[in-house]
Amino acid sequence: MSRSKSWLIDRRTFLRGAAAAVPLPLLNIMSAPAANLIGEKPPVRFMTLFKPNGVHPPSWNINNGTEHDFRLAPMMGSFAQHKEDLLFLDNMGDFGFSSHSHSTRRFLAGHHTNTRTASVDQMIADKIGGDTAIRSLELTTEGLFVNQIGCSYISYDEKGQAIPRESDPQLIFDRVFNNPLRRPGKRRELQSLLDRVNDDAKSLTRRAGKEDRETLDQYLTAIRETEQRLENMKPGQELKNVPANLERPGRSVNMDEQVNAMIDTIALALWTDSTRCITYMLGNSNSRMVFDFLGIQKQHHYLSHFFRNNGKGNLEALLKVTEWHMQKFDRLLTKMKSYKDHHGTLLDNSVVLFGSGMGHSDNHTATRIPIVLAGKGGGMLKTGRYVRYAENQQLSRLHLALLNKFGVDAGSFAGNKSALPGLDGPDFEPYKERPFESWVKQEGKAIDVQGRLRMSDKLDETRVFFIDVAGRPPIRMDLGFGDFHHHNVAYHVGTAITIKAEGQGSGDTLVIRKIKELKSVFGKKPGDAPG
Amino acid sequence: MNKPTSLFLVSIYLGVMAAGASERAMYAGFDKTLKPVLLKYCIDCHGGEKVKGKVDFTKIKSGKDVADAFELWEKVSEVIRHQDMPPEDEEQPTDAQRGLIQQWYEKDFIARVEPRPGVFKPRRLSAVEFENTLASLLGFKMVVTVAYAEESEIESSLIEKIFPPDPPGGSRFKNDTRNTPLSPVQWEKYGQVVDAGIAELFSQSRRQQLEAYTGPIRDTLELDHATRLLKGFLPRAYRRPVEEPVLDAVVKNLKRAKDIEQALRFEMKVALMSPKFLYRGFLMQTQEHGPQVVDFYELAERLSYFIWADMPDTALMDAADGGFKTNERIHEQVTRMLASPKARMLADVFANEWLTLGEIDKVTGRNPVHKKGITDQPLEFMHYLFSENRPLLELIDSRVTFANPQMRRFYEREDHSKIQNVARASGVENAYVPLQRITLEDSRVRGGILTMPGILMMNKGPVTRGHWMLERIMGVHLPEPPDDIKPVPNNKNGQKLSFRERFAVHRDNASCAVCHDRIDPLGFALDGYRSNGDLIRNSKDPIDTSGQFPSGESFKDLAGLKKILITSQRRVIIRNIVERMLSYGLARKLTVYDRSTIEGITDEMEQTNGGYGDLIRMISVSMPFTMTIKEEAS
Repeated sequence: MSRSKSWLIDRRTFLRGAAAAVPLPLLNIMSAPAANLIGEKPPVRFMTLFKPNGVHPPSWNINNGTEHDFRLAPMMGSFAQHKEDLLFLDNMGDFGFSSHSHSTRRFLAGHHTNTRTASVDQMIADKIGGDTAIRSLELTTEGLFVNQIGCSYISYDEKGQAIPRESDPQLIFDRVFNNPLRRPGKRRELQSLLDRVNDDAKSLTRRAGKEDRETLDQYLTAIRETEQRLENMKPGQELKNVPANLERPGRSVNMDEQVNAMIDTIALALWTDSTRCITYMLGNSNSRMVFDFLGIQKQHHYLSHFFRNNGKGNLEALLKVTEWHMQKFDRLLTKMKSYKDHHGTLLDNSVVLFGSGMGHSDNHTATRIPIVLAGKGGGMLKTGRYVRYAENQQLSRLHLALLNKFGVDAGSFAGNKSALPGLDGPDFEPYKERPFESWVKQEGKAIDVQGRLRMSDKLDETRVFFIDVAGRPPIRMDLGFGDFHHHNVAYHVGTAITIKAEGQGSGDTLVIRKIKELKSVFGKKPGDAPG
Repeated sequence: MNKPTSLFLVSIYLGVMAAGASERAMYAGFDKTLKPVLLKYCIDCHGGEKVKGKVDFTKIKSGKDVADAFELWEKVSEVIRHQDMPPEDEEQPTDAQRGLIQQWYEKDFIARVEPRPGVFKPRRLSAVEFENTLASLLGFKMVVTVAYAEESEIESSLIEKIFPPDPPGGSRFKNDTRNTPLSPVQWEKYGQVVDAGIAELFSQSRRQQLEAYTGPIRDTLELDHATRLLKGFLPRAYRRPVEEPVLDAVVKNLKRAKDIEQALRFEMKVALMSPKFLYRGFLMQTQEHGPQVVDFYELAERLSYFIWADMPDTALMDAADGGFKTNERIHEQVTRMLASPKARMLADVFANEWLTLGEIDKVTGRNPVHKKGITDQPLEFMHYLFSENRPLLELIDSRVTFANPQMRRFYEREDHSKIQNVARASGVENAYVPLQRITLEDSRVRGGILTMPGILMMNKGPVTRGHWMLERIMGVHLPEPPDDIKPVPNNKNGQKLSFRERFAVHRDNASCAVCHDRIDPLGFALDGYRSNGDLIRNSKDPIDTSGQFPSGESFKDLAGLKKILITSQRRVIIRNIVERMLSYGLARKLTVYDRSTIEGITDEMEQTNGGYGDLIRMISVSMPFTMTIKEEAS
């Protein structure tokens, strides 16, 4: 029996001769996907990773940075290695207080009232999907937050209806890589299976009564129709470029494993060009998830209100959860960089949008929303930069800019006609910090300082701060809970303050232990200063 | 073929055998009374030159044909009674002739029908049966990976998630799958789940379940392991012993394979995609044709799918190996099975479908923390009735109920302290508290199923409440309302009539009154409860919850109604419970041939004040449950 013969012609012979039970190993038909594409322009993929419940701004915001000269915030340590592949957008979002569901809708739909049209990812999917096996994937980690259903979705179809999402990496893996209609190896297995069960059903027919025969006929009809579908399948629908050593993810024992398996599957699906557009929610906004695998028993949403629920250990727990989100972003980028694609990596030929729907998770403001773009998008983006706009920007401007870059013919998005500048060069008006003088005066125990305040880079040091003063090493503040709380120190992070304090040491080792008075240089009282 | 030895089985068995003589008498009655009328008024459209609506009276040629056509006669009786046939523009039979047809149906036909088991027809496992069976076979349930969180709706069953829902069959139960053909889409879904199940069985995390079949595997899976697995797996998958030559053929396939594990996985998939696994009954050992007692393995399956919605376990298979030679052997198994946690399926599937409890979920708001107690309460209660063999009528009146702190407002003050508070963990904003079993001081306000909050919420107004009670509890099926009903009139200026009073005016019409005389008294008796399930306390205007049955029997309030339900309406309700349970157990619509079984069991239950366990035991040895009719091969 010859394997080169077409299965269509020779199916029965093939099966009878070789295979009734011989397993059919996956045929090693593939080489690296890029091999087929040399000389052509590789497709650009669009990947969105959503982080629920905003951020704790003191640990997230980049302070006093400029386009090419900026210091990553403490919370960015997990993915700092990718700095040159990242484009940090700041002053994104122009809403004050915003609900979880509204801010979530805006994340990809531009505005929460934009409920009749598709979200930006879906418009891009329509444009770039081409002949890929799967137009787009909409993924998540958890169930539906039914009390405010809008918290559970970021992707919406052309009628503005929420698109159901999938949380199970195995299901996604099977859908992408194990569909018998798309893979020759699986297809052959299905053919021999159909033959075997067909025989089974026929052997039952011999001794069947009238009623049994009717039932068996129905079964046989389903088998015949499946065979028919298999035969009618067009070659173009077949999934190309599937590696032979593909391994189906195992059953996840916790959410960490679940998310890792999903991210790995995502990267593989994008690399094999099975799909070009994926959105993935690391959780619902308002998520009640408990990160017990990190040793945290309190709910994420509860912790995200870090001021309202300022109990012992809560902020440390919140930062640990947020850091986990950042590690997942890192995993995605690392995976995408590990796949060679055309002349570069998969990440080079992708645009990854990472962020949240709201900025400040305790007071629900939707300004300074965390938004990071990653990957060069085949030349669409200029990365390794920090772009802080002079004014707060509507998210829809970013969406419109992405649509334009992906070649979607859209004059406006969510009512906005002007695309966000700055994604591929310095054509934007940057935010200007107000100048001020910084200094230190020390007299015995008394220390007076004026400078810009920032959090410790170590996320488990929630009451350690630094004051940056020009021309000398920063001054460390190591505070007790009383001072931390009473002076609302975290609130001033990123801004210029004047402080009267007590401490010890000198020069490089100057440490403040006790605050006597804390004043904002530009604001009138805590909270008034921008940032 | 196993011989029935119990008196009960034998007597019914003989009854079936004796059917021949009565069929001759049946045909004589048909020939004399009905046939002349049919020939005069009906034959032009139904069997002469035309066959409209697939009704062909010329096919009735023998007593057996008459007996088999019971559904046709039921239809004939109905269209004649409602004067739906013959069509208006055709010649009409006289009232006397119409009366004659009714009389033939009631007296000649129904009364002469001999009990008979159902005609054997294999049926596909329902989604929940497939799910449970696969879980029993593999040793683990197929679940969707989804992170757990409070206050979230989580679909964790893979089968529920990806299978299209089973439509209810002729019996109105979803296990009655005989008339739902297998679609290629469904076949593909089976493939998807089976693939995933086998892949998981061979993964690291399921080593224990795999080795339960193969024995310990040191390094790689060898032919010995694979052979052992198949010899254990196939009989379980097919729910009966598999002949040696069949096993040998499969093992031979393995021997030829280069990759043993791949070959083994393929053989398992063949087994799980075969009609022998997906359907029930193809492998039953039968006599050529005619009425017969089912074989022991078929009986074991009937028992396990009835009580567990699952395949037989090892103990039940062992019992089948030994043979169910007496009813006691069957009863032993039923009693054991009812004590198993798997018997929860009787509540989750049977009671859920019988009492439409799935509807509660649609009306209890969106927060899972608040709704779960309300939707679970009736299921928990039904499970209690079933598993603790409580008397049938405790459905209507019981002091036992199940509640959690979130449901405290529904209960009387003296019962509040019986519901224990459970402290919420720190950092948890809202959490579901499991239901607790409590004994009410008094059963009047909330005892029994009728006044459970979920039931009152699902049926909001008096009409839907009355209709539900009539249909689901008393087993009365009403015809569809006429098309041209006018809405209940609003109060005119100055009028201060209650809804009940205005409604009385509305149904002052003979064609409405036929049904509403039966529906309304039941529904209005529940007017003391709001549509959110709350009891109305301190109402300004007194609420009229009195009513009268068409028989003339009257009651002052809900307590009075409940009293009537458990006394003078007792037999009606018991019969309905018997019918629903039997129909679910047989996974088919009941027919006229089941009437004597229903009446016999109803008598027994009524006289002994039996419980749900007793009822299940009686059904499990009844004629329709233990016998079948095999049709001739065509």
